Amino acid sequence: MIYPRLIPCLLLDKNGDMVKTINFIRESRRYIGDIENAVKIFNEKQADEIIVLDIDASSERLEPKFDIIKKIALSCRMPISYGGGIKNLDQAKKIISLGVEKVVLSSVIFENINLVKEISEFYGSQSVAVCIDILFINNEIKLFSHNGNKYHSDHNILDLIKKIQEKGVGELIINSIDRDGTMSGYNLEYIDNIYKNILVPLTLLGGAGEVDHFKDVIKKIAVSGLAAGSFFIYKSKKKGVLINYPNKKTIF
Amino acid sequence: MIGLLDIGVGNINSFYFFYLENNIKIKIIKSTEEITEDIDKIILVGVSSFDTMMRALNNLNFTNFLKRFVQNEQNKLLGICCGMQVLGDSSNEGKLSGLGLVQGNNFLLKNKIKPHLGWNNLLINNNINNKIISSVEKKDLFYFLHSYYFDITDLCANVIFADYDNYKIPSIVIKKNIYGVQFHPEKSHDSGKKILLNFYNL
Repeated sequence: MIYPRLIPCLLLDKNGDMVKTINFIRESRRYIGDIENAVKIFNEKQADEIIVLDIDASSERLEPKFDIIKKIALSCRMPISYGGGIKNLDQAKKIISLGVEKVVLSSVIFENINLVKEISEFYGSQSVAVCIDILFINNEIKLFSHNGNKYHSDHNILDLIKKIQEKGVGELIINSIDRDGTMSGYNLEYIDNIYKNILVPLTLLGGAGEVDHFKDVIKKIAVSGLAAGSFFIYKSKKKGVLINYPNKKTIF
Repeated sequence: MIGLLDIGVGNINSFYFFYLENNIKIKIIKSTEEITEDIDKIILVGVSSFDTMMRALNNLNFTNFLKRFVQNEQNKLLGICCGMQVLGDSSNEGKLSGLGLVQGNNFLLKNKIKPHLGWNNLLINNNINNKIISSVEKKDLFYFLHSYYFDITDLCANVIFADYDNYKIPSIVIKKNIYGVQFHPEKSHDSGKKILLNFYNL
């Protein structure tokens, strides 16, 4: 029997500092601490997996942070997904060779969706995930990229999901901009419309603030991953920094 | 001593540092010339597609070497993830032949949701008693990440399965001195540690 993964999602800024945002807003960024240290703690707590996203790389056209990836991967006895700034197969190869299980593509899928296919043909689907940043307003799913700076009015989420699945994606991460950093729970209103079209493991990101928020999702859908930032780095909704990981027995 | 094949498609650092942390020195091997007499165990890691991995093994001449290596039953081979799948004859994922050390072919998972991604336990069977699974229990969870599965038809092989949405997924294969695991022990915390140390202690 397979269990949903509880996944801390850690954000890096262009300086390599670990930060946390609210609704992706630049001014909301708060410095949290040293990412290597945080990863070590999650490793000791035997977290299911971690996702590390460089949120400045694509919008500022920077390379993936290979030095940080290398340091993190060495001490990790858990799977790592890394995203941010990946534009070609060579970068993906370098990241995977450093000890990362999955590369996460996001902004690049609006520019060169074939990269999904290139990576999945070389490594297999299991090594490539796509993260879609969405804003749910007026009962409509709007798609964004480049850390929320670019709106793609010409794209429809169902078509996009269909296309990336055809290209061989191995995991879909849906990141809710409107719930990011709010700790108010995952947005499940939009999920019915897209859930039945998803043929790969689905991970939700954005909004978790308490254990019950994970339970709310599990009750509704067979989700593969429950990812969160604030939940794992703040002690409570008062947002005192405390790296933490729950006992899974309290959830499943 | 354990030799870890570095054929350019796997994640070898995680293994190297795992053993180092446990005060076990292993050797990274990039060519057949680097295989010295003291290497009696080999780990074959693949974060890869079937053909990418077989092409690398063929080009580096490891394919023939591994076939000879396992003829000596004192030697032990452990294939991990795609490294388990290439122990077989072929795969629907690619066109190249596998190592052919364990009879069977690889097929795309029949599950609706692919890949098989996440933490799963093994359907430990008391009939299979092998040192590689020493102290591994039903409650131990392992990290799986794969789209194809190794359908093992070899009558000389023992297979331990995991259950993924009512499909039985071959997860450990044992055939004399040849071992394969579909999951990632190097990324499976304490449960994975048991497997990697058991292999060392074989």
